[in-house]
Amino acid sequence: MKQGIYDILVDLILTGQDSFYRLAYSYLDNREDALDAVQNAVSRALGHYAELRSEKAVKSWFYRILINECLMLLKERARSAGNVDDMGEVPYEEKGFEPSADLGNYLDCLDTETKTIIKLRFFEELSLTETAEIMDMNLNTVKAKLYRGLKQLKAIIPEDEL
Amino acid sequence: MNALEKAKKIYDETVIPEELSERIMREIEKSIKHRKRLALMKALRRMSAAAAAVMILFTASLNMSMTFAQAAGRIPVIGMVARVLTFRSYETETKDMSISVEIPGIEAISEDFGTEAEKVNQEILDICEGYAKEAVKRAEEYKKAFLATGGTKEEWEAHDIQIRVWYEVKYQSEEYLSLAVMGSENWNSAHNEVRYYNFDLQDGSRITLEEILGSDYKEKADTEIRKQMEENMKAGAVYFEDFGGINSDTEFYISPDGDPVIVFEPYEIAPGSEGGQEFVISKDKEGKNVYTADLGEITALLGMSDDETAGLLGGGEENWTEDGSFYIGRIYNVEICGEDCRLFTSLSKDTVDAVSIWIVNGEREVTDSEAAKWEELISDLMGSSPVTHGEISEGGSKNISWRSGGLAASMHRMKDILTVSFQPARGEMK
Repeated sequence: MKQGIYDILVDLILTGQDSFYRLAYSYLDNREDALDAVQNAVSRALGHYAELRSEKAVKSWFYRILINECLMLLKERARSAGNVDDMGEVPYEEKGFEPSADLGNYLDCLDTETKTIIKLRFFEELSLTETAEIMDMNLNTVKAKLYRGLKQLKAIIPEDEL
Repeated sequence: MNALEKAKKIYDETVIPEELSERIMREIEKSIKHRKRLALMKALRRMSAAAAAVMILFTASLNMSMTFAQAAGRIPVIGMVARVLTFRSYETETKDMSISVEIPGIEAISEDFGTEAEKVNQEILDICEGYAKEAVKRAEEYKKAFLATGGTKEEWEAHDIQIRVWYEVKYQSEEYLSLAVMGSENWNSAHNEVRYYNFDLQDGSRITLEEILGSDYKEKADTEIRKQMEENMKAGAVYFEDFGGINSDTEFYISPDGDPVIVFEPYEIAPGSEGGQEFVISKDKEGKNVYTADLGEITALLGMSDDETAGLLGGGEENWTEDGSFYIGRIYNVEICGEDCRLFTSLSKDTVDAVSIWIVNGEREVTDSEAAKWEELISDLMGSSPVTHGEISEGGSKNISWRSGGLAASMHRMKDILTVSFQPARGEMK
């Protein structure tokens, strides 16, 4: 009965709200935008939960929505800043901007997909399977991208920061 | 990779704005309202146009309190699938009598319950109006007879005939709804009537004593009733000697404590002078094992495995999603700081990563003093003062939270809901 999925979704949203905010913030580096992204994702998810067939899919489904919201916001930002940059690797300087770890800048050298995979796997501590579900990719593909991404990072991070 | 670990640390320490929880609540409230509207429209479409018009008319003038859960920790799966409203109500005064009629209707939110509710509402409506009409006729005949046998008009007017039809919601929980519909004529108690409607809200069906008390319900009930009759007789009560026990037609309702109450009409098992008889059959005669704990012990549950908590608190109930596919955690009845509470654990990979305590769950209003008491208890435990989130919303809900030493606590108060939740803290709150 759909009632079950709805309740699970609301439960997920309430218990995970801090995590979702952190993830959004890691993309947007900006408090208002991160709040907007999470709120939009919540609104969208609550409106479209009927699309879900299985209760097990709720978590990955929501993460996917959230990540898409973040990427969309990044694109809009890039556009309105008159910056025709690619896929949102836009460093957004602003009052109250808290620079993420040095790693943040290095992460920007990776492509969006690999970046997202690293965030989901290491920051959100999701399993490889969950990550693959969220990315809508084959498990092996995710592993490969992750591995390659880490190798790339190792290559560009100077020795003394390891 | 050290840099990666550093980055994670900073990620984890991302400052969470207070606004976040408020914004999310807003979306959830919007969503719930929207769904209710959809469900109501669906229900209305199924009723006849005339009945629907009446429903809307009377619904508009009603004070409806819909409770829905807010908790930073978790929401247990709740299926509040029905409400009882006054479907039709009117009062008339003629020179002969005054009539006041309040007819209840059951508004079904869930689809399962819809058709059953319609049938029952029609039945209730017919019975109530039927009773009212009959009562009026009886009163008029009484008047005729009175005057014909020499009574004067003045004597008649002094009679103050009152006919009343009304109802009481005897009990409402996630599982059951018990409704009593009553009719009375103040000059003729022999014709007073009560009808009980008891529902199992899980599937919308009329519930029987057998379902509540089990297959040996007759035995259980008869033994208990005989026992109580003995005690009552010691205090001077009188019963007919040939008490044959209950049968499947015996009327009952569900008390505010959730126990079935067997009802006998006057003259059924005792002389009319004793009036109607009621017997409460406590369901849990085996004695619920009440576990007590203090807040410190509750927070210690975090990080335990599901089995460990079951061992400590006597198993409790397993909390599965409605279709039985997903295991959420366990539900316990625990006495905490002197209050009977429901405790919900929420599992992540078989360890408890959140606990919610439901102190008041819609059965009564939360008092200021008890909210203050719990606030103090938690502040003592956490060693800090709470932070208030946002304003007190329209629904009168108040959310406050604490964070200290790796633990996050929050308390949510609405008109008739009071919950406290604990979770491991992540990151630092401003």
